[in-house]
Amino acid sequence: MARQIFAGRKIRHLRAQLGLTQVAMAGQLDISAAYLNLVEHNQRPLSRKLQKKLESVLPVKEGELSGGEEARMLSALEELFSDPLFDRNRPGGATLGDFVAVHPEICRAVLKLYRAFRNAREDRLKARESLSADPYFADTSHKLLTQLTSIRSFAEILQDNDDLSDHQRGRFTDVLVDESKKLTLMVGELFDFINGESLESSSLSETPTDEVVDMLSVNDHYFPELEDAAEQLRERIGNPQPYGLFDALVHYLDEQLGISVEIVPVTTQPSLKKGMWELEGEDGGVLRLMETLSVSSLVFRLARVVAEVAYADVLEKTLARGHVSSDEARRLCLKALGSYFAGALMMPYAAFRQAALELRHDIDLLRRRFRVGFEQVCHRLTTLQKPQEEGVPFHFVRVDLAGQISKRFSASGLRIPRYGVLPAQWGVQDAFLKPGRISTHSMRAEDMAIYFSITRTVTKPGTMVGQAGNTFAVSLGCEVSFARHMVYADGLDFTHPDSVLPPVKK
Amino acid sequence: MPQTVLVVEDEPHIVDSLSFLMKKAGFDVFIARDGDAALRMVESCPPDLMLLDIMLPRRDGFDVLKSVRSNPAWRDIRVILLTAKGRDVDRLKGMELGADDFVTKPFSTKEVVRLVRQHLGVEEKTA
Repeated sequence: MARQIFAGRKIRHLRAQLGLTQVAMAGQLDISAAYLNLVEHNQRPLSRKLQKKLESVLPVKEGELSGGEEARMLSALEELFSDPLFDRNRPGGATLGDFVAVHPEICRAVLKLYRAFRNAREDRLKARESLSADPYFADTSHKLLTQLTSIRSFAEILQDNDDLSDHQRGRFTDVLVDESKKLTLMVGELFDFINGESLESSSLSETPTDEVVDMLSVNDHYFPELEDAAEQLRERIGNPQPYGLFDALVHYLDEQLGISVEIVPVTTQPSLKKGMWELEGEDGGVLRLMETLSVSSLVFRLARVVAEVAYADVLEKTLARGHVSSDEARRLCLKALGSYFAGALMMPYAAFRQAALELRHDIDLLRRRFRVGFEQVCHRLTTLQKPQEEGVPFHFVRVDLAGQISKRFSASGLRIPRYGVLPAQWGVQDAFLKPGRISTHSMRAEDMAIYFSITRTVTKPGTMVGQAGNTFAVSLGCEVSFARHMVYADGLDFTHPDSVLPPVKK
Repeated sequence: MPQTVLVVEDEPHIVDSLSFLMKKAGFDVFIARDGDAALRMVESCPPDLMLLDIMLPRRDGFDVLKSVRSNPAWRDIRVILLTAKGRDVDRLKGMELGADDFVTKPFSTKEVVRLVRQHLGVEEKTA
């Protein structure tokens, strides 16, 4: 069933801008003024037919009245204003709705600002926690208090006791001088420690993998140059349907780049240089791919090679916008950008975003429509951040059986740990108990926000006969105000958090 | 006969200042630099009051307090804990284990003397 559209506020605002009365505009639309009044007050949904008519009368782009983006923005703003920060000046729902309809650009900026504020607030809390747990800091605090106690005690004794002997007075004064000197030294060390920590956090603590995640994050997970390049390539290869993409890319590689593609039997020895694939020769040559790869993985590899060979300048230019500290970080960032290009080629932005909204993020249906893998769909969904044409802000995380994180992207605001094992509370590892099936999970994160997610296992094929593939659990989630856009959240009542959160274990 | 105060503290300058203050207030003072030494002194010569630091070498102040409170013969010994500023949890734990009071480092010398007098039922001397 199609989603009902309510765009009353926007229509009312645009009509007023044109200086038209309801009666005048109803006349142009060939409907009654009473009906237009109901539509403007969201008492009636907007029919497809009326939407088309309105698009010809009002200064809007095609599809702008669908209200999807407006609804998502309103959800996000309602969540923003539920922050205790706004306890004393929280605008009502109707005010917010009007504001979204009339000033979408300002709403977008406010949301971006709030996301940045929330991240900064969490960083501060984390820094405080890590400092108070640091053994050096704990030991130094104890020493400082001890020295201050000595200094205060003797200062008060000297002040309160006129009858001290010269010997006592001299001894107590010496203590004051000695302890003050020690205190000065210790404060100096403490400053060095704090400066050292900040230096470390700004450079040394970054691993090359962190730099990739940071590069994606700084760019809001969206790279317009790569979207354009992928679009350009699609046109050059004749805008193939998803099931024709493999042949089109093989042809392009051969004809335009002089690279022939070989699908290699799994019995080939020795195995391929990069496990599942290898490219022999820089300029022209042979691209060998293991036969065990799924069609979607084969297409993905082909697309990435095209990106790295034919669009190397675009990848380099995109990378040059940020800062990378090492050759390894640079290599990984270029690889991530190549993968982004491949995803954009296989799932073109506008078509994929529209399908995602229409199919309410049903991952299996999206997989079938675009002939891609589960993980590829999840990953692409995190990149739908084109200004004014955003998708739902998702986070994505992939872990192995031990809970070790091997991929993480977050556009949802959820802070995914940089290191180590994902907490069991996230429910991601539970996917291993039901391989291949989608599970849903809700949790309250450290920032007190509630996140809804789906989790499923994915298995990478082995590279030799009889070798089992590696299985991972992938999780795709969003902040609960967006959960209603996911088919998997149907029936859950997020207005009552206790009904969706797992019970607390005692 | 003067009442006795056992100062249990490992930091020499704090021992020095507390010892001066207690003597000046008219008490006999004994000193223990760690938890084990404190219990040996309590056993050999139970004091009327202990000024007990929490962070001590070998056996910490909580352990000493538990041992003192577990022996009925030492039930009447008053115990004032010396806790660090910002460690509210230490104060709560100490009171739970049976301490009579606490002072927070860096403490006011007048406050320490006032508390010791109060717990030992000694009127403050008037000039």
